[in-house]
Amino acid sequence: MRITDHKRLALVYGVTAGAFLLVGFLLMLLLRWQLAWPGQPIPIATAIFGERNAPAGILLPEFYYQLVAMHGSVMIFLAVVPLATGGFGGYLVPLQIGARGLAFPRLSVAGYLVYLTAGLLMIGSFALPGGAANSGWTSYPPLSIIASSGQTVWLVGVFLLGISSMLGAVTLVATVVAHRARGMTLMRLPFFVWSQVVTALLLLLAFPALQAAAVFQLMDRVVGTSFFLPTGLAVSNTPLAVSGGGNPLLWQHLFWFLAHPEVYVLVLPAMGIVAEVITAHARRSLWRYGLMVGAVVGLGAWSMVVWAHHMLLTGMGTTLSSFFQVTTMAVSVPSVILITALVVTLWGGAIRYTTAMCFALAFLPMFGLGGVTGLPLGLAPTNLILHDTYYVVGHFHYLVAPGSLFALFAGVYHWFPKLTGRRMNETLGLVHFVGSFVLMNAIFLPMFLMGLMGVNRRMYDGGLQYELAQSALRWNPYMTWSAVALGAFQLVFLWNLHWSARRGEPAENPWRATTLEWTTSSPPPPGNFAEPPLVTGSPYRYEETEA
Amino acid sequence: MTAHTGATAVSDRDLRAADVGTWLFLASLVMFYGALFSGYVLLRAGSTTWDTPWLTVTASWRIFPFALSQTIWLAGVGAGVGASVWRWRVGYPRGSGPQRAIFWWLPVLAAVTFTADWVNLAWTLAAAGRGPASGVGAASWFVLTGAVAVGVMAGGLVAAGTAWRYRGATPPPHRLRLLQRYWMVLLAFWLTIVVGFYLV
Repeated sequence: MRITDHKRLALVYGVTAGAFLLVGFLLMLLLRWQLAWPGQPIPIATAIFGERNAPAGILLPEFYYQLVAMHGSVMIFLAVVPLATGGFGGYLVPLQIGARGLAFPRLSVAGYLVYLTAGLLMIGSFALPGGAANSGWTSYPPLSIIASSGQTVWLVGVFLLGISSMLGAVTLVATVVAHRARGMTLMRLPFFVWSQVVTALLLLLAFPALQAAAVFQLMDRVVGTSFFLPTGLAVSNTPLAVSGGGNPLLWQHLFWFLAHPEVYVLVLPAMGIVAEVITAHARRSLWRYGLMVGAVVGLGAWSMVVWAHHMLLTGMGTTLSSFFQVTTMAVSVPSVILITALVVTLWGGAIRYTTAMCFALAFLPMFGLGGVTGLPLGLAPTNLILHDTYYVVGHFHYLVAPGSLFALFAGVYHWFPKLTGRRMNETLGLVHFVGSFVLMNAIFLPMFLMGLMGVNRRMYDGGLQYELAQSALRWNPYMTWSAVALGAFQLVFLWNLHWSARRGEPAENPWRATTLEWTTSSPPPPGNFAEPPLVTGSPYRYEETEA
Repeated sequence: MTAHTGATAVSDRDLRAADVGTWLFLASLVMFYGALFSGYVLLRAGSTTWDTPWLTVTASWRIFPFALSQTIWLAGVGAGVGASVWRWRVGYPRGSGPQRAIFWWLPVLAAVTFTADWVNLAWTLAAAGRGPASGVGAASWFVLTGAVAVGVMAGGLVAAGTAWRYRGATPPPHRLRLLQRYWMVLLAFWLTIVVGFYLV
């Protein structure tokens, strides 16, 4: 099987994104140590990070902020999105539509290589004299423009990731449009395929805005222009020697034009996976398939007109502010439709509590909690109070960590037999699920309380010098130990993957799923199907098979 | 399977995929150029004093001929590549040497000319103290027109590569269409810049 085969390329994508996920997790453990025990030395930190970053084992503030910026960047740009799109999408979409492969296989490989280059550049920037980017994953100017050289590498990396996303998205959408099996009409596409198409379109249309912003910021940093630097800007009471005349808010507009849809890029594939898992493991067809397709398309389109709710504190004026508050409230409608439809699908089903199903079921309340806690952030009066606090960190992580990641875990357990012809061990799987579920909540739930108490989310010492934060800071060690334990439970998952791939129970279609990918052998042969499939009805025919 | 005249046989599915892929790529390109131009508009709209660098340097007389000549070049390339697509549609199996020179090397020539002229003008502005760091107006001009120059160079390279790869044969139609539409997007963005920078 060649690398241009979509299945092999998707596996390479998955392994690479998994490696970046591990890097992002380790960065998180380091910064969580600093928050739990501010100023306390980390054993062997000096040996690993050098005197420059961790003298006597104590993380310096400059290094801490590098960890924060790179944790966000790695997790979002290099881990979860490529895993959900290049990994899951690349493997499953051609199989689910009955195609022999991707429309442009070489373009896909090029996209992967660009992604890998960008990732290695961004991680490698830790070795630069000034270290990696340290202005947050949002890279707001003017801070990012006067930051160390790692920021330049970050910008180049983001630009390359935009190219990679474009290549992948073009390939995926063209494959779905032109390479569907006979009889596979648009309204017979599995819901997962719809979620991937909308995700690809979001990447295709939103990422160029961040690429343009990256070009502007690169010019500011390298050539000395002032796109984002206002006149009269002084740093440490010293006026900057720039012409000025620029506007820092321009970056925020361009950045969030991508970064808000990026949240849906993280979430929509997860919803697609959960929909497939729930239908198969509850033996029920998807409730109101047409409504769900409309909701996912609407959610994707609507997500492109809500970006400035991230900027409600910038003083944009009441008219504009009102517009974005209204659009933000409205975007919850299709989200609620999707979650409701998934819950109703369970009604009357013969639910099997497999590991995949447990993760999928856990996704629903976790995503719901992340969504509901987002509503106060979409309204200016409450945003004013909560914006700079840990509440935002908790909200976002509920969407992405126990949200998207749980869905990805569900997908791995569900489609593992398709990849290997073997089932994953259920006992180990349930241990992994229970541990992850409890510990994810142990890490992120206290963040809401800390945020409501007013603890600022940008403090190197966690807010140690603030009176109001004192009673909340006692949570930090528990959260950090929970993060360490969460890592330990992921070792169970990795062992399960390793063990099951060799000794797992042989299985062709253990869930008796009815979507097209299960009609071919497991693992699928090169070309996917021995005979071109003919599609005659809905992808979900569980009532028929049960009858 | 359907085969068209020439060396390469392409299935209907591949043609359709290529067509969709072309439109998606161009949509992404439009969003990129659109974001650059939106940045310029926002900066200019929010500025009380806007500097126009070419009006204050000795070479200011060159800016309008530059804009005009480059518009003609880009339109010419669009027409040239469009003629290639037309030739394919009416079924010309092969082009003669001079025809290929016109249809394929025109974009390359345009790319080189456009870029050389842009570099020359940029150098003149920078030498007169109106480089990109001199003000947001100058910076916008350098970045936006520079982005077109990069796009033109990329188009020229692809045209040259296609001409070299398919020498003596007709290239696949989707490549011709992609090139044609690509040059049209570049021309549209260039005209937007001409209006946005020189006429408004």
